[in-house]
Amino acid sequence: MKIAQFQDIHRAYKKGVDVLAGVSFGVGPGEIVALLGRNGAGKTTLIRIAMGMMEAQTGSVRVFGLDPRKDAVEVKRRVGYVSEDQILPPFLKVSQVVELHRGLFPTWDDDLARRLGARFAIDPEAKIKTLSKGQARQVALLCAVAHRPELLILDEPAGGLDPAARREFLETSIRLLNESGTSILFSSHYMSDVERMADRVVMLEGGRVLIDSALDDLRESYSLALITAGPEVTRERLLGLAGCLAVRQRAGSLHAIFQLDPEEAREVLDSALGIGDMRTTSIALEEMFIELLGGHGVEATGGPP
Amino acid sequence: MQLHIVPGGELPIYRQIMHQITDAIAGGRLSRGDKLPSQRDLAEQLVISPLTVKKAYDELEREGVIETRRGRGTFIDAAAEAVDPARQRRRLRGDVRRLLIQAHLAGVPLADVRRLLSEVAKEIQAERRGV
Amino acid sequence: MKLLAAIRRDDALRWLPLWISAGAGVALLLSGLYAYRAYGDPASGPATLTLVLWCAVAPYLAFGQVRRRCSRFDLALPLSSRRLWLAHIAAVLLAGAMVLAVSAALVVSISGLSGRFQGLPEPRLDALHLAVHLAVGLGLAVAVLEAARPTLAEIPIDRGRVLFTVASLGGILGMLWLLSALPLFWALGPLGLALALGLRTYRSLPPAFSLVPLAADPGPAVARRSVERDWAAAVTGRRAAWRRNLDLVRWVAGGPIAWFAYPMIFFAGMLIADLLRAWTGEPDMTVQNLLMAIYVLLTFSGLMTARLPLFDPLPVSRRLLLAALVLPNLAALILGYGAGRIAVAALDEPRDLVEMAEWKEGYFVRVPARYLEIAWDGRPPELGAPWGEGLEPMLFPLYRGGRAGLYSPFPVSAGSSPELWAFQIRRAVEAVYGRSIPEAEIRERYLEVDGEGRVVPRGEGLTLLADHPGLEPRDTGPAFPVVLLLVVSSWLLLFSIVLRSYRADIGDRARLGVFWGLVALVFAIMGLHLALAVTDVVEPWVTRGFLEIAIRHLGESWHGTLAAWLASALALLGGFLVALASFQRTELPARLVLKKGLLDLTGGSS
Repeated sequence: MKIAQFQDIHRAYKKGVDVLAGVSFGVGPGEIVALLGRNGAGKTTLIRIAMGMMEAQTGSVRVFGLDPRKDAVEVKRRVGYVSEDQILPPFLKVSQVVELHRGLFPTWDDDLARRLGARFAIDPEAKIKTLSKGQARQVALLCAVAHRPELLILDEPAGGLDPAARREFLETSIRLLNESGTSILFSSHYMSDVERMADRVVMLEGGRVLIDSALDDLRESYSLALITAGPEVTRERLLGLAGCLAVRQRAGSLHAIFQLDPEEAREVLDSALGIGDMRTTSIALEEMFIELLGGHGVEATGGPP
Repeated sequence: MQLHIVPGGELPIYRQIMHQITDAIAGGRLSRGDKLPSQRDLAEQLVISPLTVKKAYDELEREGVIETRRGRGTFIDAAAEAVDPARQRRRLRGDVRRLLIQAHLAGVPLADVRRLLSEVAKEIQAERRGV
Repeated sequence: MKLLAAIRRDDALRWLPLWISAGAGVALLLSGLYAYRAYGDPASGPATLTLVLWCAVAPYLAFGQVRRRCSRFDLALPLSSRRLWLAHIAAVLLAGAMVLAVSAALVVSISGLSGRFQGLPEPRLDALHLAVHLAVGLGLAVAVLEAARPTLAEIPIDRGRVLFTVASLGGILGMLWLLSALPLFWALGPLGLALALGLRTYRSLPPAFSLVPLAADPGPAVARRSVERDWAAAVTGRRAAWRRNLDLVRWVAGGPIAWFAYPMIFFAGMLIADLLRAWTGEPDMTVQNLLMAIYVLLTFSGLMTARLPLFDPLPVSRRLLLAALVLPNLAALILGYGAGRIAVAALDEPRDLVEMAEWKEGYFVRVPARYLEIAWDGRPPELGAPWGEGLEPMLFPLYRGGRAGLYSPFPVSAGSSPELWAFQIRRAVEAVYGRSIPEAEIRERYLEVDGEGRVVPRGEGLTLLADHPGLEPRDTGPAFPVVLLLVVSSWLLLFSIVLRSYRADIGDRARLGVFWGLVALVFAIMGLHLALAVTDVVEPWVTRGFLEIAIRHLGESWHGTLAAWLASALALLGGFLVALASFQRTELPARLVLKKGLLDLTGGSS
């Protein structure tokens, strides 16, 4: 059974402007799924829908087989949630925030909380509003994982954190996953973090799932071809080729993404166009993100408030 | 044995792990019967998804390079000779290709590259003896 | 030019129309109250108008953007902090002056226009005194309020700041009262103080404002302490669920806003307990009081929703969250009501409720409005004595031209016989006190016929209380559940509309429009009622009479009382469920913008 399952989710903020226009995917047990997309692509909306904090207009969400809107308390008890724009009550002390969470989550693990608290070296008597951004996020992470959730939902958790804090964040998540078999659904703009952590990548664009693929497959079965443009070699021509997903015009050259490994892509190009002047390489996630999502301006659909 | 991974590198992370282990076997740094870190430990150590480690181990096991003994851990199963030299060469070929293209672009003739190769090889040998 | 632009951009000028209308509302309310109190004693002190107008501008100084010296946007501009500060001071003074000017114009013109408000503060006060005193008060208030933390772009709001603000504004009220009794040149004292304070603040301004206070960096000190031990201590024991819920209540419905909210709601509770009547002797504010309670509850419960997003990701049911928000407000109201009843009991002195009052050229039997009766069809029955003498009572319509109205069930007229008088007075005494006094005794003891054949009171009139010890008015009926029903169910219904507007597809602007629109609506109904009363379209005492008579009828039987309590309980529960139904559908944004400034609990925009 899937831990979380999205089925044909639609959601608009304004009539006729869908932020999500039929998104379907799932998160399996023990899986780490990365949600990618440009700003305003609907990642946060999707995550808020999974948390039961927003409603899907059509389609269904199931988390642990439950409806996060109807069984909100049950779902939230079993989920850990950290988000970039989440605010811990600024007027509370760290210990009060921890105490609050501790009382609300039946599966709370005091040992884990103490261990993390000591490791993060945050004064439990400090007020939240006196903490730095990184420290506040660490408190949020502590509160999100100390009840050993079955699903950890991280919405741009590393946003605004320095590399050391980011790494620490990932380490904590991995350890949790190892110890408790937690699944993770996270969104991030740090592609190196995604490459490290993700088993599967779901790329959103225009309110739909553009790519839903195991990360390794993505890395091994996609390639980038850099071709010198010419009268014979045009964007349209390339797009017509088998396996060609996207082409971007860059000054005098064309960047084409193929759903083929580099050797196959080279053969296709060679036999179809007889081009010699080209390079085909495997492609890192960051490049793929830019080539697939960056070329044509994603309509400003307006992210969540 | 130390593993080092580069996210966003040429190869997916599970391949990087596989290669480094087979390289270590071929180079004699790992030999039959040596214990590998558990999948969990390796995932925490490298800060990568446990499923990625599992995939690397599964692939290696399928190739007969390692063996998981239930309840005891994962061990190297192949001797250095068992590592297919043809495959190692195929992998190196890509690196050599890149090197030669670089040399070509920089206008360094092949003979000079050869000389450079043997020089660096000597350096490395000296370092290893020194250690 | 840059300075002018900075003034216009200043947050102190935001919502100015709101502050002006609020100030004018306060001024009108207070001067109206004053007029009622001063009725028959037209000697209004010279201070009155000054003090009334000060109370009109005080809310702006307390809640407006006085403490925000410049916005983050301005902070980034190449403008010196001194220029920014001067622009801000100019903006605050301008806004304050506008609130004062509009309020003053309104109060003076209305008191000049309406004969009903004869007792209003004398409009022909010395305008120079008024202007000078208010200007000095405003200047001093701004100087004092701006003196704190000169290095910061925005003075942080905490308990101390709230107390300081209240104390300064109250202190200046007292100062103005003193000044009004002194010659004009005494105003130079506070003026000099204001200028000196302002200069001191001006000179201690930093080259550039900072956003956060430069507190001693606690970082290393904390690291040196044993964090392990702290954490072991921090995470021990387990608290009972009810204590956790109590914490939740404290956090959801607490914070700086609580300092304003609960006293105000408490006071509103005292008002609906009829405190104003017992205190000032003015009974006709009932409808305003009810509306005021709804207004206060709606405003503060709406503002308190600002903290809900903080708790949205937690596994707390919406029911618990809503209860945490609603119950403290309700409790403050009920406690206020209780306190109000106690105060009323202490203030009310026993007095004769059945009187012979003079009206036009004759007398009539006067009883409090609650002992009258309602004629829904506008045709009161003819009430006569067994011997045939009688007359049709006069009708007081609910509104001018309306059908339904009140009538006195004890009608007499100039031509009535003393027997009819005695008959009606006996009936009135039975209705009010529940005891019967023989008609013969009434006839002999209290009535006589004057030379023109009219019935007039004998001696001091109907001194029933003095002559009949142990005469106690009958129970007036279950006012508490009825009042609670009216106020709380209206509040919860309006609040549920506010909650409905918390949807991701409804923008901040529209949401604010709904919330402040509803608040304004309640305020507008209050104003409308006042306007109708001033123009004699409705008689406030008739409106109140309808309510009180209904309550009295409910109290006449046990099932009526029970029904009132049941209906009240059901309305409370129903209102809560309706609000909950809205809240269940609510989508709380990560940051809920309700108002910038004092109540901006979640920090600046990202």
